[in-house]
Amino acid sequence: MGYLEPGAHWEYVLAAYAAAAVIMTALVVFTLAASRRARRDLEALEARADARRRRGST
Amino acid sequence: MSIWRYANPAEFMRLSGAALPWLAWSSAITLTVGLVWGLGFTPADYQQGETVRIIYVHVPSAMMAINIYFIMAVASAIGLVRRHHVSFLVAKAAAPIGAGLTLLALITGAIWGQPTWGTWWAWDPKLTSVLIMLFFYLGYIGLWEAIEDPDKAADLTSVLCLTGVVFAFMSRYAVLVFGNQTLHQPASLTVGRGVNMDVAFWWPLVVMMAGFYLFFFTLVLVRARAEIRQRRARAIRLATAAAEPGDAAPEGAV
Repeated sequence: MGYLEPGAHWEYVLAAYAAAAVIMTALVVFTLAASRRARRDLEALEARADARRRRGST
Repeated sequence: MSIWRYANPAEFMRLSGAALPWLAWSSAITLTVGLVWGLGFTPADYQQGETVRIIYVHVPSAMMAINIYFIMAVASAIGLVRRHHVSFLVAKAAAPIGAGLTLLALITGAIWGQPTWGTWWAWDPKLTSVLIMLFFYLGYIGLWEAIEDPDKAADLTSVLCLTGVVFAFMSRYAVLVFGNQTLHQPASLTVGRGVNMDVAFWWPLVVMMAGFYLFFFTLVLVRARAEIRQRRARAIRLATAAAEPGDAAPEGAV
């Protein structure tokens, strides 16, 4: 050892937890955004395909 | 009944949709309990002082970084052998989460290294293996984006993923292989070899590891469901373009 100076060194702990908060929040936000985009795209395409099918059958 | 029925996208969507709320809430509760326990109710270490609390984010993120890579490799191998699209899509869905947690492991490791080792970084076999594994994650994600044909992309990314498995093994076992040439200490806990830490640190760490697993499974299911929807959307676009060749090809159609 020998590298630690006296003191609580909470600044390192807070920096590590801040990094965890930022990265994990970013993962959640990007995942939810991708999920919402995929769901919206698919619903729009299915609605358009349904409308086209109905037009074709009349 | 065969487990392969879960590789059917409709069955996967049904089961994952039912499991997701439970996983998400379990993940949130477990991480909150682990965080409060680790930060507020564990003692400081007699040598490391308060910096020992970094263990509750560093160890779970490093463990997940390596395990997610193994999960991707297994899913890729199953995809290549059995041609189940859901396997490829699960591997694809896991990659950004694995890359994020690998980055987190490297950052928290550097923050922990400075007060305990006296340096932010060393070209140590374990640290370097984890860095190379991060590059494999990024290469894997980039390759999926670079190839337009999803079937070809699935095959090539799977081969890339399987190639990188050697660095996942190195990340896990470098301390055993290189012994005293590494700066990184041996694993704090190893299956079958017991625990090398006081029980006061061990239980909150177990809770955080469980929380990280639940966090990963929640996100990977959400991402895999999104991938399946995107694939279905692509199929509809292609069918529309084939049925109405006069129309302009829709965005994303090949």
